Amino acid sequence: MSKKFTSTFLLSCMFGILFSQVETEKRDSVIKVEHFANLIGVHWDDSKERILTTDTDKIALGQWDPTRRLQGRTAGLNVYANSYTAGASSKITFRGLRSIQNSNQPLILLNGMPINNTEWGNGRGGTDQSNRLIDIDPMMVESIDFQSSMSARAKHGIVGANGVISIKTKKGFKIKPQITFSSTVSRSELTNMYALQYEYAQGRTVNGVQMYRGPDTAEGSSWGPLMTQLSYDSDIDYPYDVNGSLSTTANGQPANVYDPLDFFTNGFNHNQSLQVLGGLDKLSYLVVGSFNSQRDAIATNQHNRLNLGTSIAYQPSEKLELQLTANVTNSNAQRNQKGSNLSGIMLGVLRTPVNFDNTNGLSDPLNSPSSYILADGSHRSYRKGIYDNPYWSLNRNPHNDKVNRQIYQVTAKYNLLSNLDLKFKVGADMFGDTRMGGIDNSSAEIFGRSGFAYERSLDFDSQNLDLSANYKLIDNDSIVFKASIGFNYNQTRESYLLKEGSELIAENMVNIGNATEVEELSSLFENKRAGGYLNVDFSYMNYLQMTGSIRQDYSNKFGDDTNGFLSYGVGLDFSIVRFLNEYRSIFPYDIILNASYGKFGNEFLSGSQIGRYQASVVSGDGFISEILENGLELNPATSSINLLAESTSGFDLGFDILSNQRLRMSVRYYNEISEGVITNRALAASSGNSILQDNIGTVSNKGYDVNFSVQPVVRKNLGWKLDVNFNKNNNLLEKLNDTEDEIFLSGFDDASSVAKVGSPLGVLIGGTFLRNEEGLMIIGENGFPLVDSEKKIIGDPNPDWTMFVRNEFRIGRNLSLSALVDFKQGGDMWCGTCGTLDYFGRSEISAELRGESVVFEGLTETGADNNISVELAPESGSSSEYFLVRYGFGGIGEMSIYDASWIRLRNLTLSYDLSNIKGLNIFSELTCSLFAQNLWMLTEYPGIDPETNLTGNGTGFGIDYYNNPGTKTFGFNLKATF
Amino acid sequence: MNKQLKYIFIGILICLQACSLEDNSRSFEEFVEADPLELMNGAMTQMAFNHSALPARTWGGFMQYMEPGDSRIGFFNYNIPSEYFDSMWRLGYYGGSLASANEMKRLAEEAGNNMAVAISMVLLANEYGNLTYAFGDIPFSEALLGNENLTPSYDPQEDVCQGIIQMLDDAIALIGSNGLDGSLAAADLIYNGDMQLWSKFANGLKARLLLNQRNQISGMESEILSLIDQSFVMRSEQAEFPHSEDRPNPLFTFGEERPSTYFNTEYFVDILMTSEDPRFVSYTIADFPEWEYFGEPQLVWSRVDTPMPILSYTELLFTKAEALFHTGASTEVLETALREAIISSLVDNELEINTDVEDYISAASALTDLSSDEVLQKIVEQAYVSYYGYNFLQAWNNYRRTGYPELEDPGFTPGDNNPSNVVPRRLRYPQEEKDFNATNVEDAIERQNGDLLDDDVWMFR
Repeated sequence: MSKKFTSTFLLSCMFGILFSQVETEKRDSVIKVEHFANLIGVHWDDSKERILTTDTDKIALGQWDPTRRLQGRTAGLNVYANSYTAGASSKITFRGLRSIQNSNQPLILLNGMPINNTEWGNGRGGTDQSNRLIDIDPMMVESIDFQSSMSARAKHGIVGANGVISIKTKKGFKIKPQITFSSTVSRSELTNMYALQYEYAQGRTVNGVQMYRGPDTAEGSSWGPLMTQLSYDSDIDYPYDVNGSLSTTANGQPANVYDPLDFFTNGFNHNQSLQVLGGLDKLSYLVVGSFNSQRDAIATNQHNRLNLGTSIAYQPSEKLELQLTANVTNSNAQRNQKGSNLSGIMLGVLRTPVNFDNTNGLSDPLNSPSSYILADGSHRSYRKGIYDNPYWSLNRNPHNDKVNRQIYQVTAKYNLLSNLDLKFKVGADMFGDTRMGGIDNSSAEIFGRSGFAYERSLDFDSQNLDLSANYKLIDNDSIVFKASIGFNYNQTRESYLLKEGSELIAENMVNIGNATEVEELSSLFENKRAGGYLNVDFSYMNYLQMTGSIRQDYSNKFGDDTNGFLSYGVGLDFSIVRFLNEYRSIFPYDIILNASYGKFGNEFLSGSQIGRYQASVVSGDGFISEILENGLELNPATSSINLLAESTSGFDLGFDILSNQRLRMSVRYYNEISEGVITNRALAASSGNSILQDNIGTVSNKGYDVNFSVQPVVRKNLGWKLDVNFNKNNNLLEKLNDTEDEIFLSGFDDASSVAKVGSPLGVLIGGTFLRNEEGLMIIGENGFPLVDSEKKIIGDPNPDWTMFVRNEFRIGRNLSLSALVDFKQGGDMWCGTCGTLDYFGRSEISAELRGESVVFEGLTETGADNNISVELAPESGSSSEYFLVRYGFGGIGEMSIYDASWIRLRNLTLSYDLSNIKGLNIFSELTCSLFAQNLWMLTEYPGIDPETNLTGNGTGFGIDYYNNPGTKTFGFNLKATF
Repeated sequence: MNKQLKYIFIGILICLQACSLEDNSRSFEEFVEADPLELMNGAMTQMAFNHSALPARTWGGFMQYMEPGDSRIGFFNYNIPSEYFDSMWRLGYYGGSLASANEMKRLAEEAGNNMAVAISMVLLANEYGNLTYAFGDIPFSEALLGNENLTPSYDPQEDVCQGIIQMLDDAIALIGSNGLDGSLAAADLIYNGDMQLWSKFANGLKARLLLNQRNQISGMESEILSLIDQSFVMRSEQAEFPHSEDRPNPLFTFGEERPSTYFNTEYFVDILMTSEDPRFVSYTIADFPEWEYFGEPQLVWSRVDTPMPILSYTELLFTKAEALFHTGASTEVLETALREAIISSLVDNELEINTDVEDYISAASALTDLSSDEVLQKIVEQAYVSYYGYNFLQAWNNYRRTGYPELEDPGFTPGDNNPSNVVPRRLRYPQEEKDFNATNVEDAIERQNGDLLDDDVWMFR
């Protein structure tokens, strides 16, 4: 492998030397280089960069997660929260999905060095997790660029596939020490919630007789009698309610209607940041320290983060510039059980019938065990321990994690000549992530078995090395030529150590030390890549810019029989108006046509790794159980010896319209095709393996991005800036392997998000009603629709289009108001929660259906039009026949698909600049702001905030099954600089 | 300027050479440093599973020991399609015992653990042997190479047999005179590290193979007898798998998990009743109108913890009797040999050898006044009865080779997989092989003139 590298590299060296001797034509030109660069506001390094955020940006006030600060910044860069609990992760995608097993998120660079942004351990149950970008302190960030064009992504080789987010941290500069202090406080509260019914009690109906079936019966449904028909007897010893037990015949106090949603609280958040910067002639420095504490609507959840960052620049001579940055993060979090998890909080809260009080009348139920434990030590819950009382779960099923992270970077730039400089960058990113938690004995999740405790840790470290020589030639003001030749080496190691303790001995001690058996599992993922590249940029006069790059990468993840991966790209910008120089005075705007083409690759993730062995299982007989044996056997899956990075190629085409800062518009049409998408295919067993991981699939993304920024009003006492970005993307999985056309990504048997040939990635499939070829339902003899035996497509979680509109108003000299509105049109979500709440009779719909009759539109089995009228919840019938119950637990998939489109007011900020007030002049900057996040939303989705994904950053999405609820935040910020 | 650039580039190249792009990634299980012994339990248990689970019930049906109740469709009607054997190859053999034994051999060779190498060779030989008896030409020399050869070719059966014999010889040579290897005690579920017994097992497997291929390669009788002498000398030496609650006998598991699916046939029960076979009580029990093979403690072969013989002492004795027959030994010698074999089988079935069973033994081993063919028939038919429960495959091998016992025409409707509706002569190749290794399978099918259940494999033509 290194031999081939050497020869390629030698070739690129010679190339570079050759270029340095190119003679360029001298031409007369009136335009000077500096003038030209400023006029069109385009950056040399990448004409497609978009500046996304600066620290002073008011839109992101109160948002301490750097990932979420990226929301709505540029067309096609989709950033959505997976959950709104403290520290929960967000998913970043660019335009659409490209990969099944590997990364779908853009590469994140910190000062040019890749940093880790993975999320580990998020699944259908367990807890929410964080993505590692949360460790970065927004106060440290100066600017974030996003490299989106084909030619820009090609420069990054096998990690450029999903775009590149480039974060630059602040630097000091030559001034007297400047201190900035920022303090934010805010409060979070619950936003959307499922509509529950408060009329009917726990129980069921049999042949018209509504029976109250209380907690002692351990029955789950709320198909019982009206609460108004129940009253308490005088049994003061009744453990499930202080008022006594309920019945229709008791004569005492009428039944209380409790609201299980009272469980949710308001969370208090705060952030304090202190920044000192300054500089002398040769040395400048910056130090930032921040502390951040975040809570949400569930009482014990929290995420706390302490950041320390420093940046030191030293320029000993004119030729040499040195930069050192260091970022240290120390964070911890406490998280609740979620999702498909009998100990899950949402499941425990929402399924509780209104006759049961989870608090047991106590004012501090969280810290009073008698709210969740009976006198005899058993569970106090509405279903006798089959689900956990949420207060039990918060106390007895803990999850705590701690992350310590350090990122160090050293950059040296040596100006060898006036037109040639050498850059040397070396950096390290390392973190340790340790999680401790488990499920207590007798918790619902392990009903019938004993509890477990875990200590899971991830040790991550990576090193990065960049060397480049950069040459620039400016010839008589009309030609600017730049060439860069460079080398990059990056290696990462993820080392997992999982300690799983089972058979806990004592109660209320969820700890490895309390486990009888502890199993230790460890694994290691190493990813090494090396690449050599050549970039060329060429500008002619002031109307033509071209860029080209070629890069060869090698990776230890490539198969043994491969020769590396070639990436290349070319881009062109042509300014029509400047070209027609003489007409410049007529057109106040500049119109630039652009085109770019590129081919580049996608990053390997540890989750796609195939181990050589697995635990031994003896099987092969479909009729009898397998035997779990000691020791190991060969993993039937193996990786192709020809495995290469997934390859994305394509073009984008468009135009920019620019004026002098008051208008900027950019439209791009793009057509990308990702080939060699890595997935598995079957093999003949005689080879010893039956599954081969190989480059097999093809995914396409086509659409357009529109970015639009205008300042319609720029006056002394009124200013208005409007930014709009819009994306429409069509994603299609065009091909998988020959025998398989569907791969499970996430979800359940009832409904799942899959990769299905002919549909967008992530499409939802599930149970549907039986329909004929024209799409008409087939109705059974009893008047109810029949169910199709095959699972079909029930929805698509990919949006049709997305748009962000940002308005900033400056009123007077000191007041400013900004608002970010977020539109997501299209995108379905499977609300598994809704389906099960309907099934249990807890939902508002389930109460409303009583007394309703309907004629299902469709054909009978004989082909005639159906005209049978059926009652959806017949009064004289049994609850087991009700429409919402008869199709089984949660109903069939299509019954729970909802449109998750939204219009939301993501951020609203009102700021006042106090620094102009007499007496406050010592402050060079002093602003106070009021802000609200997620203040208002318009959506048809009947559940929690539809910005949610059960399984976090996995490829599959569009699944809501007792996900944690969304929150909105109101707060106040004070920022002072002196 | 050029010079300086050159220095810089050279510097970069030097850095390059120092970087290694090796992958040291390891998944969870690999941290056990893949000791060859880690794979031994799995390989042996899978072998035992293959011996007594689905494959055994297949042969048991072919040889009319067992038949389905009314609920079973498809399987027992002698018309089994290719799809049926996918999991047998993918999980049982190539993806199961063969993969584990082969990997164990590779790791043991790397570690210099010759005894483990020898054991893995014996396991491979047994499993390949059983596969080729059923499927004829099979992937052998190119098999199990993983992603170096995703589509292995099929070797002709004669080459496979030679290869198996070579493997067994190599194993015996490696073992040499080594005795008990304590380091293997825990991993070796069959012999706990007693290497001489492995050597005997290897000799016994050779004897079995030579007997099975005698229609094509004759005159090996003295070799067979010599091998048997070098194999088990008593029942306690036979190769059997120690089933238990944790590693249940698959025939037991089937009885437990699929009750009333399988019963003994009238045909088989008749044979037992007509000859007043004392093993009757260990084999079956009346549950009118059916005959149950499972459910009562005295039914030896369907108990959860019966040690199931992979190669039994009884089988060696029957092999010896038949080999003696083919050498033209005297009736006396043959009767003695046959008697020995029958007694061994009675012991297998937990019967006491006393006067109660003497009548049966005498009648069953009486060969005087019988024609040559009848002698062979009696020997093979007695083997048939003795092999019930644990050795269905060898019974089927005997049948295809000798034609005995004369099985009934079960009266099935002929199917696509078995147009002439005979007792199957072979199995079809798995559908997954036909899907993902098409060229090689087709070549093998052409070479053997078909893979339908009524096409013969080389060995038994």
